[in-house]
Amino acid sequence: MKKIIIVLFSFLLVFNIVSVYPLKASAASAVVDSPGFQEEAYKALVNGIIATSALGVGVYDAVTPEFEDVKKEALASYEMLSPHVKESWRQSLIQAQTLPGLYVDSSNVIWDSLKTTVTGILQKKSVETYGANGGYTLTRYGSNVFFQFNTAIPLKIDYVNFEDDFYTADYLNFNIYRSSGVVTQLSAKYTSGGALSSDFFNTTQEQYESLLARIENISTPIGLINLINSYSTQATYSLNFPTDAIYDPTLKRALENDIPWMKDAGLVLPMPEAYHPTTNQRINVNDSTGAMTLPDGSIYQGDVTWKSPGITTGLDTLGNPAIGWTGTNVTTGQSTWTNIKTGETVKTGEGTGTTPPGTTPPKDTTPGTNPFKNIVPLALLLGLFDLLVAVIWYLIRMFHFIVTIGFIRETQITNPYFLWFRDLTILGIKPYSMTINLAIFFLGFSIYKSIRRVFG
Amino acid sequence: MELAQLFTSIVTLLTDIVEIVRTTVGLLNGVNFNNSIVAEYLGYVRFIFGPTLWLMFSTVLLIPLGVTVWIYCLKGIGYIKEILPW
Repeated sequence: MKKIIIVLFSFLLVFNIVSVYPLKASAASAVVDSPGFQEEAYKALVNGIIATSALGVGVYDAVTPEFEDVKKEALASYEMLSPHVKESWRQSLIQAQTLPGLYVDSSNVIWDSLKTTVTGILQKKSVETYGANGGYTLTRYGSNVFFQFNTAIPLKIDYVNFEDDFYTADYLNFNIYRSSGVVTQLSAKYTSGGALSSDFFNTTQEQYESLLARIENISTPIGLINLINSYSTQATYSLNFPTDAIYDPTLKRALENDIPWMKDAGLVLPMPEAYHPTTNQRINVNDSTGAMTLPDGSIYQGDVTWKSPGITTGLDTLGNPAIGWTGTNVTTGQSTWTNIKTGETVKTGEGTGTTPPGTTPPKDTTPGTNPFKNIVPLALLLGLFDLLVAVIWYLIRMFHFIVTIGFIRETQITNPYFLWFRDLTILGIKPYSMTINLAIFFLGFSIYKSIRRVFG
Repeated sequence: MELAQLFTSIVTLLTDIVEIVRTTVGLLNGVNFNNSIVAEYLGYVRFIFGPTLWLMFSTVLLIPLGVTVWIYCLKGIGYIKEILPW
């Protein structure tokens, strides 16, 4: 009996393979392999890619007018598409938006405009002042934009997070995260000629509004190219200032003048302190006139070392003498430390309340020194949460598929050879029906046997 | 090495990790479980089997096999969780 069942099942398997694959090769691929179909599909694909990508480039036009010709070309190529191709793109976009775990955001569009504008604002002064290694870098991962000063800047802004409300027409809402844990919620109203249009984004109101309109009009192919570029479920934009000190008052004033919303948010940069490069004497600088005077009252003209204010500890986090103290590295055997301001001398290990130099670097408890403490775990947790959601959806969809296998729609076989075999009658016997009936019988009998073995 | 460089390298490493996670999420979201190849093949099988034999075949063989595979996926996730240090 076992042999018969095995033979029957193997026959069924072989029969499936033999009967199905020639059919697939002949009937199913006949349409796809036809040159007309391939040509049409290729045309639609290429036209769609050209239109969407070039329209995506057209968004650059909001901040860079030199893409005008590219935009015209793109719109012309998009208009050349046939209506049913446009409709298919639109339908695919709608379908993509309704899929779980996927939705269209405009992070790349925003990122590009943000990068362009912020670069335009700050490139001049920072690069001119500090050269190629100075200034800042804009880095991006996912939909997060990190804005990092290469010079040491005591900006006290660690993380600026643009919420989803960024898209609203009237307000730009974002949170400013400081490494001390304080979160400042800032809602800047967008007005004509205000800070957002002319100063922050360096665009006119019309350009900004057109950008917003294009972003919000999700039925255009712009949304599709964003879908292609990013499957992100987070629309988060951040400006990051990871370093802790701006040493140069020129950059401080430049930042304060170029980013007016910093003042509006109460983010006043501390004035750096000037010291003599050789004697480390404190030099008083008049903030308005720029005149420099030594502690004895004499006027000083020359190079100045700018240092961040407010640090009174003897060592920084790396074990080197902090600002305000002289001395060499602890690893070289330095034993005496001198405070520049007060002149007091402290030996190693004899730190007092405000003078804690020692052989081991003290823990840096100054707020605003380690912004990554707050930022990076957040991003990582968001990513891991996305991963968890994706895995859960994977399992749910797989289980759904497994359970609904029995309800798969049957594929009609119109192959004349198969139909001939199905209707074949030899002396009143139909081999096809007989095979199936025998399979049903023996399968049921085997189930009956196994049930009887277990429960009988 | 300067502090800014250290932070930058740390951020670069972490951004790489986040990028990998995001790519994995995209791949997982992109898996199509109404796989047209499998569905088409099983559609032919159903047409050839007929309703009775297909009912027996799917309920007795296909779905138990699939559920077994699904449970093995869960076990694999458990093994991955055992390897992870947290």
